Amino acid sequence: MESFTALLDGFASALTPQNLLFALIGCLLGTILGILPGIGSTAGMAILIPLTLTMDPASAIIMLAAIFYGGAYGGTITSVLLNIPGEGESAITCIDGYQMTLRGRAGAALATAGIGSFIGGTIATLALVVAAKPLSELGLRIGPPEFFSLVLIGLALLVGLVGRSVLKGVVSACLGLLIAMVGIDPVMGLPRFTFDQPHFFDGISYVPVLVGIFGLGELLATSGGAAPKPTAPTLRQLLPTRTDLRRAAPAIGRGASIGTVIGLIPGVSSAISSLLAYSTEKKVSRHRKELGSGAIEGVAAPETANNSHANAAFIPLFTLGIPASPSIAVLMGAFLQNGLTPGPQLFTEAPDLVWTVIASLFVGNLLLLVLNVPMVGLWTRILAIPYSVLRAVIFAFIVIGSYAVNNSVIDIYVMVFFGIVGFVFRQVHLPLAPLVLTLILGPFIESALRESLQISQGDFGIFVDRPLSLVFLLVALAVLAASVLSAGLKRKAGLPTDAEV
Amino acid sequence: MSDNTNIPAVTAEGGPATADDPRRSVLPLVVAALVVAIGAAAFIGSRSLGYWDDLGPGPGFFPLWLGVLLVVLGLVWFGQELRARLRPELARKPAADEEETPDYSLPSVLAILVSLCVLAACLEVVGYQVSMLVFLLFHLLVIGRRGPLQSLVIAAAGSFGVYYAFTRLLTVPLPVSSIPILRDLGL
Amino acid sequence: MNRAPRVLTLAGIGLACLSLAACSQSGTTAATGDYPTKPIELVVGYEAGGPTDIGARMLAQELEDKLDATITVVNKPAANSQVAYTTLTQAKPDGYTMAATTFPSAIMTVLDKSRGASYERDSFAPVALQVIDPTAVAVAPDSDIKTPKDLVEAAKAKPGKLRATTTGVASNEHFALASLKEVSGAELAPVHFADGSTAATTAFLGGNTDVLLTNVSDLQPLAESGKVRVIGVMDAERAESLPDVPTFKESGYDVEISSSRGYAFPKGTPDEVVDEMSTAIGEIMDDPAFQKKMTEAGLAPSYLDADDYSAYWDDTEKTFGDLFPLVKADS
Repeated sequence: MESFTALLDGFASALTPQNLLFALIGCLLGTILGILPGIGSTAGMAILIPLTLTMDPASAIIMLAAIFYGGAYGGTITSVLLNIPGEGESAITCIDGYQMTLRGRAGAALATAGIGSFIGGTIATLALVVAAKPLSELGLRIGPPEFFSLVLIGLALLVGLVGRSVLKGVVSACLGLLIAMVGIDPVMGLPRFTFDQPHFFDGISYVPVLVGIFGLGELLATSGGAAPKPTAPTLRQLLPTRTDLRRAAPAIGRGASIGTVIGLIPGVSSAISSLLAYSTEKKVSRHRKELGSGAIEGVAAPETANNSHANAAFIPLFTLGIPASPSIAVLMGAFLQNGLTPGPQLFTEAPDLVWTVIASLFVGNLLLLVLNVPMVGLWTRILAIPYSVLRAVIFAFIVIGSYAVNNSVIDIYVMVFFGIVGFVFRQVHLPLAPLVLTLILGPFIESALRESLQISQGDFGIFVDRPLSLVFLLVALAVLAASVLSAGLKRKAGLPTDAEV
Repeated sequence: MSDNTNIPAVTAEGGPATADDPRRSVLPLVVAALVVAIGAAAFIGSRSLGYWDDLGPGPGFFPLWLGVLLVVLGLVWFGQELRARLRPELARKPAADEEETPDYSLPSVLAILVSLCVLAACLEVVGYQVSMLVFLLFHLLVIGRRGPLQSLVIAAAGSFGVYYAFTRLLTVPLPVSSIPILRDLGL
Repeated sequence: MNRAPRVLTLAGIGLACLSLAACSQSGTTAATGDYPTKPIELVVGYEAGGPTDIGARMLAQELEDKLDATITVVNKPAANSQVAYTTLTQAKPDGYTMAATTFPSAIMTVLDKSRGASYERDSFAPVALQVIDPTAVAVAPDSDIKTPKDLVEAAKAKPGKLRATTTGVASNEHFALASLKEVSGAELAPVHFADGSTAATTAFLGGNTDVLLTNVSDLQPLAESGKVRVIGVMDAERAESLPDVPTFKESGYDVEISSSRGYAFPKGTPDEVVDEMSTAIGEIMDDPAFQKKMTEAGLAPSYLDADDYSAYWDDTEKTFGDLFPLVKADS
């Protein structure tokens, strides 16, 4: 088939030393930018675009794309090693990733994340090559009603995240939802709970919140000095064991599917993919009772999902010319500035470029793996820094990161506030995962609901009339029913209902 | 919704009283009360927002019900904790992983929080470089009790070095001072 | 342990660092006594990488050469630029703080009292206009609607049934719909996509709404790829990138709504400074190479100097001000 030959040609040009070099630089740069919370790859790409105007368009786009998915991996490094989420998509990785670090398994976690990311990204890119057009049609069919039902599935999976005490889990989730409601509401356009601060009109940015809850909260809670500290793993512990890989495999598979599908939906952030992947693991994995205390699935699934998502997000860009996220929008800007209009006609107008870029997606994913897995040893050396120094540096780090989101000092205060919240949560055993889930999903629930109702002119039937939406709703109900049923069964068997069966 | 306190203690772990032994810690009670308060605030705050309009739920709809839910849950939680303290024999023994509340030291916590707030407050007044320098020196020298030379090097790197890297290489602006003298010095 | 030498060493090294930092700053160069002698801060109220930001950075690059100054772009995205405007209007009017001002955000944040803006029209000293992007209307390629007239008639036949996208309550498109209704009596049902025009476009392409309203620059790639049919542009003249599309005006409906991007200083900035900046921007925008760069980035260049921009601002404020009660009543 001709796309295959075109792809091979693409590989030929993607593997030229020049383009390889750019991909390499991009991966490195992206990883470094991803490590800095609040900066992220978007800003980095935006700043580099003017520089890329002097470069050959294919090379420019290759580099920018590499920064993009390199950034996803960079966020993982800080989540796992330091419990600081680099971006929303790495937040849920903090939970199991950091636990693994505390048990000396940081190397295994990072390496598995790298492998999973590679597999996830490759699968998504394969999907792009093989079935771009039909997949993008699928993506378009997910309108506001379908999206609302999808988010409901996420909420249903929430039940699995609550852990021992359903009460506390629901409290955590409700608090997350409430935080998500701060801002200008999607219905009337009125500020809601914003304390008259325009800064909060767009809602409370979730990076300071997450960095505060995870990073600062953990540091405060362990300030007594007797807590287990993250230690640098020994050489033998650096790589995942065979058991690890065997356990991670199904998680990677699930994560890749979830990430690829959700990545197709334009406008959805990869944080949702990683959240849904994690929640699914909680429900479905064989080792689900270990999730939350350092299970490899808790790292493999979300990391694979968010990389799949990032790569799948290229599909709507290439086929429809719609950027799926702000970062892709920046990439799209790069296309435009080089005189190319993304969309289906790009395949006919500039096929060489398109296939070169697609080929470089494969190459870039591989490069990330090759770069980062050996560098795991280097990254974990960070943990060898004396704790008091590391802590001081982390403080500086999270302050800069929180500031950089909006160039505003208010976000630093937000971060400190949520640091206190995270600290208190830990003292009273309120679970963090539900709050993260509802915080990220929350804004979408209301806006999707409202948009759907505007489309249907007030008719709630739209959610069941549309087939895909109905399917999602049924899945959500099934998930809920399964949880309730299993709780009921456990009670009948005389077991405490919070025993994991 | 399962009610955990109905189940009598199954395990016979008679461990020593831990930091969050229900008899000792008052924090869960306080937090539960806070949850009730937040719920109430949400409820009250949502009254002024529309509840329902001709197309569907208004801006006040979700906050209202969230508020109600939080109030109810907070009260139930408060009740559970209270019962655990007044009737300890009925309390469920916390499971192994719940007993582990990492200990914190209140002076450290306060020092960290206060220093962070001071840093935030100073950032736009004296500029990033000076504020961060002082902050890092404080944490390294005073709290971390590292040697002076090492602390200075790290602090300088973290303040001037980072500033240089961010503003020159990354073109991400970090705050400069609003005091003219300092600003003209490049701080 | 004797603390005195320790403190002295610290102080000494501190001073050394200070002077090092001072030396590493450029822009504090030979004071010519003219403006500008210090770095200028350009506040952009949108995320890095967005169209406003790209336009601002492109301009900043050129301005740095022309004015021989350092221009630092600071992004303060939040609240449709309200935070950025607040920062601008509270800054010293010495010409070293400038902000990218976009319509309708600069106007709407003032008009909507619930937003509690701390500034108003007079808090700004307009400098120059850079981009005008008119709103245009598109439908599905296989739709029955082919002209603005068709649209109006279809809407009148089924008032409130035709669904049209907007990018939020009191957004540009919402004003456009209100204006259209006032002028022609055509009532379309707005579907607000507060997440932005990408979400709106996606929903439209998925068949969730009948009509898509967005900027010409956003529509142009879609029209090129045949995914939409643009039926009308809401501007006085036809759009250069869509020459075959009639304006609503020529079809008999006097609706002119555009979003635009310009720059402003805080009120009280000396006139010479405003003029110097305005002229510099004008010279840059005159350069065909720069214009080409802008068009390639999807920005339609359109320059107005300080006085003209000020007049344009007042005009636009009046238009939106008149429409505002209709928009608020609608939501």
